Amino acid sequence: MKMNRSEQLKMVAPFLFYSFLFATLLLSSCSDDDPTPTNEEEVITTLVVDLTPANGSGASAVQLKFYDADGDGSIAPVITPTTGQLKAGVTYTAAITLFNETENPVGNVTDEIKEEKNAHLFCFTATGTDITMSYLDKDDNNLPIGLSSSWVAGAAGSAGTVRVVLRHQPGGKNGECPGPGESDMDVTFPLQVVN
Amino acid sequence: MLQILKITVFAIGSLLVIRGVAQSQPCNLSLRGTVKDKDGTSLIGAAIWIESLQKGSSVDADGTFLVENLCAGKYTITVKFVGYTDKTIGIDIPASDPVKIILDQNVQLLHEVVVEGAHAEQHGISQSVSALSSEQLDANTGKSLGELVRQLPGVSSLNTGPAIFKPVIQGLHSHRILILNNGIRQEGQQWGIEHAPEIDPFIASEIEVVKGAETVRYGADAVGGVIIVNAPELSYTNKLKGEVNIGAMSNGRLGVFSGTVEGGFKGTQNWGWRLQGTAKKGGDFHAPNYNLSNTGVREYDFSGTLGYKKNDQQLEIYFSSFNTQIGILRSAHTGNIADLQSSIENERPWYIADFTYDINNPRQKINHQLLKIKASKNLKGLGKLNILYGGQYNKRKEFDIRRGGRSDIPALSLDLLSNVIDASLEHSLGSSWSGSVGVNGTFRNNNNEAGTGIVPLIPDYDLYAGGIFIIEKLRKEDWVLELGGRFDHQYLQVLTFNRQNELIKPTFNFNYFSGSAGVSYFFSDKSRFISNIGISSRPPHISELYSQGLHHGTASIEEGLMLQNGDWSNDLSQVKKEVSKKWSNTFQHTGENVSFEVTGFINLIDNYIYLQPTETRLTIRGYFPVFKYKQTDALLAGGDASVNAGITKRLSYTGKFSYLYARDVTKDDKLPLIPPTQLESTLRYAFNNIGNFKNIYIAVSIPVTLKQYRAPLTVYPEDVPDYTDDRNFDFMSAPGAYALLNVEIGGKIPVSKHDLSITLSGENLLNTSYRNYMNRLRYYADDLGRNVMLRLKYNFTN
Repeated sequence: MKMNRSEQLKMVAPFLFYSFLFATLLLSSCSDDDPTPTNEEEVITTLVVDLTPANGSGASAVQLKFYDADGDGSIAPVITPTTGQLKAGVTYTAAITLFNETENPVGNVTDEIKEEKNAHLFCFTATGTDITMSYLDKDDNNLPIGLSSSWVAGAAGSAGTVRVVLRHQPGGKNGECPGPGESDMDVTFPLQVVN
Repeated sequence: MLQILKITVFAIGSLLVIRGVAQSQPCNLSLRGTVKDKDGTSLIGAAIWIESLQKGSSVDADGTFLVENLCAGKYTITVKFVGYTDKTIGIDIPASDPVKIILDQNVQLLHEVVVEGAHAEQHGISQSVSALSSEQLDANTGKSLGELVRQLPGVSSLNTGPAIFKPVIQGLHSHRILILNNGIRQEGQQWGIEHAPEIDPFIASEIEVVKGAETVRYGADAVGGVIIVNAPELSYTNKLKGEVNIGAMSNGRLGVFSGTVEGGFKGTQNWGWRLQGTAKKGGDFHAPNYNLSNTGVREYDFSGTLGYKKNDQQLEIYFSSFNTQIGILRSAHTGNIADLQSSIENERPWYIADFTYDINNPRQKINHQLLKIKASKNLKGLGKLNILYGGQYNKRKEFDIRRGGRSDIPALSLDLLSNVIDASLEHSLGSSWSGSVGVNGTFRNNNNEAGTGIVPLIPDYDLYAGGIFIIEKLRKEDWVLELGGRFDHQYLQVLTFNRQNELIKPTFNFNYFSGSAGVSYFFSDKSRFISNIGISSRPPHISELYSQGLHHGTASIEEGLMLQNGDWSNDLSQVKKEVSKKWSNTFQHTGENVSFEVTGFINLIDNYIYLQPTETRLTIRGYFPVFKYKQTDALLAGGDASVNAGITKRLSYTGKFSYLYARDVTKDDKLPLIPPTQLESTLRYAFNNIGNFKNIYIAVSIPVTLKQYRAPLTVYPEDVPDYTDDRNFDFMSAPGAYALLNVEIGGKIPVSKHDLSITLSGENLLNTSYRNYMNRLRYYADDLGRNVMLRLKYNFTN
């Protein structure tokens, strides 16, 4: 099998040819379209707790708001008011609403929680302030949800905090806090009970 | 996509079939003879080749060879044997007597073959190499690639639970390690800490680990070392052969089956084929005291090889498909650091359910398809030309616990398409110089499938890389010198979105050099000293530049180094190449009774990239630590040792040891995820045959893992909001030292003419509860409890 250089090249050429043919086939089979921006569907940017005092209490309504424009991004969240004030001895009805404002139109996360009420639970913890919470709503298994709750302001005192945690407990919800699962939201509001 | 691959394989295959129809002439003379060395020892297996007829034979167990169906005439025959110089002689047919051929030993070649392992052409001669033999692979059937190689000294693994093992070579992992899958650079999503290699170890007859940079040969991915997974040679005979492997494990109630059949075609010695397939199914594994819920695994793989070999040219087409689904411990999915804190405080994971084979979220689903075409030909006066093409298609989907009915939508869905072309020319100059020159081309396209509803962890990108290298060896009586150099260029275009959600396309061009020099000095036939010094550069990986997102397994936000003040920086010049300067020295001795190997190395890495804590960020889910990829200078130094000693004729001892020291030199800090010191002792006793049972043995081994005393500072999750330092930290202190007890009993029994190998083994037989520093799930649960395994292997030949 004596061959000169050009014969050798003839032997090698088909290998090279087929190799590049493969490459071309593979390359052309995938489209190189520009990607489109991702809609962050699951982000919660905004938590609003609307505290409505019982009729005739003389207290005014209070709105607690946590707003984080970019989810996990580096823009710092804004918490309002600096310190929320509840009136001593007044019972407030707390209604929670949640939004995803990165979406256009704004995503209503409250509806998602309502749909999956059997897998969600809000947990409330008051620290350093005399506020007592109780649930006003129930899921299909007669377990609390917490979208609607009652907050009773006790004796006036110095400022403390109320922590609102949304637990996601698919398949394992037992009504206990924190219970199984993971936290989808964990927000702490500065609150004070005043006379 | 897959369809195209299949059709092309078929088309090329049929083209070759047409060309390869055998030629033969009806002549009935034969040539007999013997091949011996100078001392008169028969060289069994030596190859006899008649060039002009394209036919040959080999020396049988009785020391003779026979070439049949020859016509009368003059022939030139070539005789070859490993470790011996080739001999070419002229012969007249019919020959009156059997020919007697004597071959001379080639000392240098012998050194190289005996001491450097079977695949010496795939790595430098001056590298420290450890290998898993086919016996060791058989005794570990059912384990993943990463779990297999961590048995080697100097090799460990970074795991995420019982089914995801990432190999770590002397402290380096992920995109610093190259895996050669049947000669092809594996192109998967290796950047992620919970992304295991997409390879079925059943394809391999031997796995070798090169514990040093092979950037000259393979480019930037091989900075930390190479794992070589090689399939056995095709047999090219028209004999049907095969192998069946069955394994069962008590832990995870895992079952695995793998089968291989191979053969040739009638009337030709030029063609060979092999088909192989593996199926594996496991459910929830368990720790000594509880189930590790949602840690099941399912895997279906198959591969096919078609080879053509004629004289000095060879062509091989290989296709493999790897498909797996792996569950991740349910309790390891956290929402925020408060969840992580309670997991660390509680001894038991919060979710423990009854055993099931079901795999729920969080889970990974991975498909990896590979097509390889390899051709080689000897070009007279030039050398051997190798051309290798590899096309790979990797699909990775990760499913998370999600809200609003989105759990069936992958949280991450990546398609990675890659094409690799390598061409090299192996040549020799005179009797003492040899080497190879070559070029590599790589194209990679990474694409995030739309519709996940989560900003991708890594963006879309296109990467084109080209490299050119030269490696030359100078062989003398007592030593071999090897020098190599390489230049690469990489073009990277990233497609991502800025804060205003506008598409941006930052483009990078990297030029980088690698060089290495090594020497191997033989004190005697049995011992040698090898020393290797190398400089390797690596441009940052896309994940190090542009990753962003929340890691639920560690309740951390991870960000690439291009993210500055909340947006992607335009200043591309701040990105520096990572440059590793490694010096490694090994002494090897292979004696009749005692063999040992000791390696010491020092690795200085400039611009070493790793995740460092930068700030604590308040989000609506609470506080998170932010870890950012940053570049600093690092030092890694350490040593590995192994010893194998025959105590009596039947009793032998094997010892292994690995130690690693790592430091961030710039920050004067400890580095995270550095494997702790490990040592393992094994006693093995070989028994006499009992009836038909042969090769019976029992091996008792005690692997010991020490505590990582150089773990970074501990900052518990609850203390993260107040942590303002920039020192590296971990959420939990390093787990304490532990020792396990493993026992293995094995033997062979003939079943209808062939051997059935049976191995019964137990790992962690004392059911010790422990946590492993290198397991990312150690925050959540104990490691595996007792595991008893039965393995059967049957080889058959038709």
